[in-house]
Amino acid sequence: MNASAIVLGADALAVATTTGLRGLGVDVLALRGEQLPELCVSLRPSCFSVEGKRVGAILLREMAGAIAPVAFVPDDRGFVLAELSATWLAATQLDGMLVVNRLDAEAWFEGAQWPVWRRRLARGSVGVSPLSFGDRTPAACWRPYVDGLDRPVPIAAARRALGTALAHAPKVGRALFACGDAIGERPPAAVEHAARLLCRQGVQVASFTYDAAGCVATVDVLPALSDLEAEHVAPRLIALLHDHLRRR
Amino acid sequence: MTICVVGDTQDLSSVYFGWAARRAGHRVLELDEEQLGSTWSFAFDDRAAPAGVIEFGRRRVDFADLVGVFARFAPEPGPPPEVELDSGALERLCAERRAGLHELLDKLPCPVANRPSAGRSNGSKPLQMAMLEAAGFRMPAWLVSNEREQVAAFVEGLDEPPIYKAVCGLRSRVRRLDDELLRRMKAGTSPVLVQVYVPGIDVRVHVTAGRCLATAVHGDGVDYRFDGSRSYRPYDVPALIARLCCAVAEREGLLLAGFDFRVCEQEWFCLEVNPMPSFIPYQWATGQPVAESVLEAFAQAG
Repeated sequence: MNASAIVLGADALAVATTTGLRGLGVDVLALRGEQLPELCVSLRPSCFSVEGKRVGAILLREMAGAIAPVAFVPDDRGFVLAELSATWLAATQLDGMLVVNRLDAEAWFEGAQWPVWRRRLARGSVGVSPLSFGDRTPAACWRPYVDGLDRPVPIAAARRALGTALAHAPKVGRALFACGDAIGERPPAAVEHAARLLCRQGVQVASFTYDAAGCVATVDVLPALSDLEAEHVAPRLIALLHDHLRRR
Repeated sequence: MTICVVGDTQDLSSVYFGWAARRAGHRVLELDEEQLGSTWSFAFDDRAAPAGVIEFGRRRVDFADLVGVFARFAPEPGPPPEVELDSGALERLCAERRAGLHELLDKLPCPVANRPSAGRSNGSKPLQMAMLEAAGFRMPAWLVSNEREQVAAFVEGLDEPPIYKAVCGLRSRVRRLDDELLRRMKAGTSPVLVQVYVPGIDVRVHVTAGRCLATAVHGDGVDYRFDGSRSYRPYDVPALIARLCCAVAEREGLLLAGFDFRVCEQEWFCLEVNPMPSFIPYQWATGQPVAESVLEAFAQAG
């Protein structure tokens, strides 16, 4: 293999994938987000190298644009963060680079938040859980844009000031997908449809919440996984990444 | 029929656009991001789409009555009036409020210049350059790096020093590569974009719904925005370049786009496309009707 893999993150999935790839002879740079500002990187139109190694595949378990570059003075950190984020986004889009998950510019700069995916799923005719926006009631709960964790409906002044997303049906379940496969029980049809659609767009690992009608409520493309879930997902990713690097 | 100016309503382009819209006989609502919840609010429902309403004081405007929306956001908006928050809470509020405005602009059934989802590759110059090159534009050779040796190798063989600039979309000065940058790289710094310097003139091409308006700028240095300029004048765009600009703007969902070029001996080198172009200096210097072209685009869509 003439290229290395990068695993960014240190959760159970990152660790298992790193171990598995190394066992297959892949050179893996296992990194944490806070290390990114310290790395020597070079990006050309057709190649990305980190610490002098040509990179052919990346597993992102942290957002490369969401780290605090503490090695830089506080006044510079915002700019350094934007520069690193822009560099890594471009690297993930190179031809011949396999990235799990590959996010396009909009998803990347929106922090991969659920509203981006919800809008795309709706455009793709996937059944999404209905929402009201702004000062509309009644509703079952507030679904904040930034984390998607349902909360009680806030007061009217807050609804008006934030343009809140208000859900009419609370979430009743969660489904995890990896490389097109449901991990665990078979989820509602709309969730399967959503997983297939996002998989075609480069999102290989995602968790979906859904409401009682089986409509997709939120999408998380950096889902926290239990150790058991990581055990099921890691072999799929190892096979995918190894196969890609072997064929390069 | 109503036109809205959304986001940073004090921005010069926003102010001018509102004035131009009023002059053209439209009713204009200035919907400032920081005033959301104070002077204005919105409400809509998936189940009633595309219906919705904007409330501005005592006025209620249905989405269906909007001719178009001009959106321009400040990088660091403040809190609502008379609300004091610590920096963490303010950051969370601003993120939530901005996401709410993105939902609004995404769902409005009228033309929007521009929707927040459009032209996002501008946040990463190397990504955008790859897109522009694939679209058919000629791009100056580039490298993104924080490795002194790699940059030195890139410079070798060039007739004159390249320029360097920010990798991201934040406004930053373009400079010639010098020993100071190489010293900083040796000490450790974030990656920069190093690019072959193209002599010649700068040309800004504004594209609005298939129409190109170009301005040539004779600058005094490498970056006329910071180094000064001697003249702004209207410029002819070759048909091929105009066609490429229009195609990229349409594909990126940009009702208004600002393409930057360096033109050297009739060769057009594309530098970037801006999804939120500051068109005022070009319009005022040349009389080219950029804002009015956006209004025409709104009318055509209606």
